[in-house]
Amino acid sequence: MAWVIAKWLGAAALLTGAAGIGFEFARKYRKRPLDLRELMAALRMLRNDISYGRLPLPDSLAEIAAHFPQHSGTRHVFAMTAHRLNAAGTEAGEAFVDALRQNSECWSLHEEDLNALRQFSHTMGATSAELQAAAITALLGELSDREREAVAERDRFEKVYRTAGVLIGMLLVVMLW
Amino acid sequence: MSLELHVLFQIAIIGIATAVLASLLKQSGRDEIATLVTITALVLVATVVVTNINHLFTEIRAVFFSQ
Repeated sequence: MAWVIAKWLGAAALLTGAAGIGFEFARKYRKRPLDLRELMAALRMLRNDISYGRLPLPDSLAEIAAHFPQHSGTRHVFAMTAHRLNAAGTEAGEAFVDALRQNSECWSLHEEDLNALRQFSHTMGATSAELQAAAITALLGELSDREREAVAERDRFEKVYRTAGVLIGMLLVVMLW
Repeated sequence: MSLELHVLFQIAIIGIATAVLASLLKQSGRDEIATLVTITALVLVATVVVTNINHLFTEIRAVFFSQ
């Protein structure tokens, strides 16, 4: 009797584990377009603030961060950059790159997305308002291309990974039964 | 009898799972992986069948050539 229960429990654990791994892979594909959209919205707000010279950069970054939900990567990066800028005499670009590095786990962006952001960080707070706004516009164009590509990838692979996890779990259970 | 049914179900489930997985992979444009999955399933089922046939021959040998 105990053996039968152990067998069922093991099968359930194996199936849950495999399905969980599949869902985790699928989640990464689902989250990337959302993260990119959030980032683009934040950059648009930053561009407006910079163009109109409404607020100093740290205040503007902190205000933009507050627009996003608690778990959002954009919120973490913007808030941390603002915090760094307020704390000591760090340069804006440097603080931004540092915040990107420390929060890379918070979002599902690819390395090339982060590279585009790093490239943009060189102009951040270091050139005139017009040049910064132009750099953000260029970055937004690139990110929007990436977002389209991320949506296509999500449509192709999300369902595959989700189903593959469950099916492979089922196969393992059946083979080991 | 129960052993035979178990093996049949095992092979059937492998077949169904592989068919679904391969069609999904094909749909998402990963044709090579779909082929790989199909071949792996074929090898898996062949292993199960060969093991059982081996078992059958051992039984026959035990019954007819026990001396």
